[in-house]
Amino acid sequence: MIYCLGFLISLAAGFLTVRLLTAGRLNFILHILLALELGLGINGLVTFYTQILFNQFNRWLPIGIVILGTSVLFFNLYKEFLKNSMKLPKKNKSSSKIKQLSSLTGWAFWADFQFTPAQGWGLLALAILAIPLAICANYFYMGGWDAWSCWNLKAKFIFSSQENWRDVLSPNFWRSNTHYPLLWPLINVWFSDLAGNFDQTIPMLNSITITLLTAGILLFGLLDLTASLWASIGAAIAVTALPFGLILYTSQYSDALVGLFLLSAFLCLVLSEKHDIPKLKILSMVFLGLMSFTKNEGLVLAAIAAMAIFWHERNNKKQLKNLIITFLITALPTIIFTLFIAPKNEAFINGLLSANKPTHWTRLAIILMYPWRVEFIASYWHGLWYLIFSGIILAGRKLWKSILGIIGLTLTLYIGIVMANYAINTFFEIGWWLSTTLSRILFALLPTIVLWLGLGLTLTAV
Amino acid sequence: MTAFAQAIAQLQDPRPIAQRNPGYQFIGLADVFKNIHHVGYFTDKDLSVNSTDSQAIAQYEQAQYMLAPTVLDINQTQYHWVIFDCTNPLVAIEAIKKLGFTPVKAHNGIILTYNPNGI
Repeated sequence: MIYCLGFLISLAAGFLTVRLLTAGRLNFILHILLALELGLGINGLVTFYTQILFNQFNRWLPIGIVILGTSVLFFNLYKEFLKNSMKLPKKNKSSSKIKQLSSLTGWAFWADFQFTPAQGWGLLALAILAIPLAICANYFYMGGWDAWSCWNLKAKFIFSSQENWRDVLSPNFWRSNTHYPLLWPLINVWFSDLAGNFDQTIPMLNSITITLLTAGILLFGLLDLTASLWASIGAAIAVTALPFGLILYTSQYSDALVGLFLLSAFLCLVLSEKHDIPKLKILSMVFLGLMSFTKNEGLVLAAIAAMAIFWHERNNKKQLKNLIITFLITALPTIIFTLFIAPKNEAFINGLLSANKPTHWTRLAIILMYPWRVEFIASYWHGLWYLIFSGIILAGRKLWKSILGIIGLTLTLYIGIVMANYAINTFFEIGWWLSTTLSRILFALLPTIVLWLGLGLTLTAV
Repeated sequence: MTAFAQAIAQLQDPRPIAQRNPGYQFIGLADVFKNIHHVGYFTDKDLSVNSTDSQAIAQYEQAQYMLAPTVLDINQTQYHWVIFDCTNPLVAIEAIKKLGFTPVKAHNGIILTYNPNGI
């Protein structure tokens, strides 16, 4: 029940923010899905600011700020709506209270929204997907190793140790990736705050929500852009419903959040050009800013994607300025955390300089061969990467032009940097490190790769 | 199809959640450690950087998660409360005797001890 309340508050906060940016021009279902995602991100950011301002957790403050902000946004937007409706010719004005009410609901719920059978099938697919997800999440009630060793551990410390919360960033906890940003734990802390206690059910339910958001945004995004229902449903299922995907999504890791934010950032970029809603690019930068606060991989990915989008927008100076400012504002918690709070990465040895653990050519050869000889052909992917590479060959040059080119460039640069990091950081034995992390890196990229490929195969021009 | 069958078999694991997660055996200690900032975690298992004993690491990390925000300090015995998690109960008892601690509770090979001179 409390979770539902938190869900509604998050939805309201995100809904009004997206409404402010798109003026109701975005597909209603996508609007709802992006709004909930944004709402969760806002909760995490607000919790972070209250946490660093008071150096301890303050119950009600993060919730109060989100509710206050949402209320202010609502009254401002509604005031603007009333002002605009006053400007309408007299014959269009409604005088009766019922008509006023219907105009309010029309404003809030898209009076011109038409529910199509394709959307019904899409929603049904999500409802069916929720069943194995719920079963799997219940089995992985505690989440995977990194959930209790890193993400949920941080959430528990932030929620319950008051001014000692920074204990979790001490070198003793080096296995908990103390240098990683805090968005995922803070989102869970916000819900715990509402519930009044730290409950394992919260990260479990949030992991289900994030999976359904990923599937939903991919499905309805592709549907909106390509009008191909079954391909859209197939894409969403391929990304989220393979047994390996189900396990990773319900493991309560931050990788799922990286995947969701990257997908949404690029989808908003494509939608902004298709529907001519320039402010959707602002939303795209907001998602990249949020992604930078999920984990260090998210930070690198956000920086690359943002640079690529800035380059794409280089001829529109005014828009470019707005995009840069938005990205920096949303990434501010990452900047504060990285510069002033995060401890040194204890699991890093620069193999280029180290005499004890230098990097070597064999390490590089293993890194270059591992994806092809082990990862892409691993049985847990069920041949998905064969399909993806076939699709890349089929789509050909289309994937490297215009916005799709920006997505392709981002993915390629990011994989290059990840490979370089594997080669340079010699702290871990490379075979073990690749076997435990590469699948998760690919898992986070998968929704965006499928969107990229889906658009490249179906669209004539983006 | 084999993968789906394996997944279903895994999901049907009849053991309750508590038995699937080694950290659950520590959960009762949370009440003992209320408002205690640090306790010791004595072990002869390999928890070092190069350790390959993933079972031991998992047990320690889940214990830390269950007992957070109390910090479990590995092989630090200067605190009032010290948990012993050893490969063999005899090793634990020997160490407890040597350190002059009082065993308070034992469960599944985990021993909670009290150090009268602790901080």
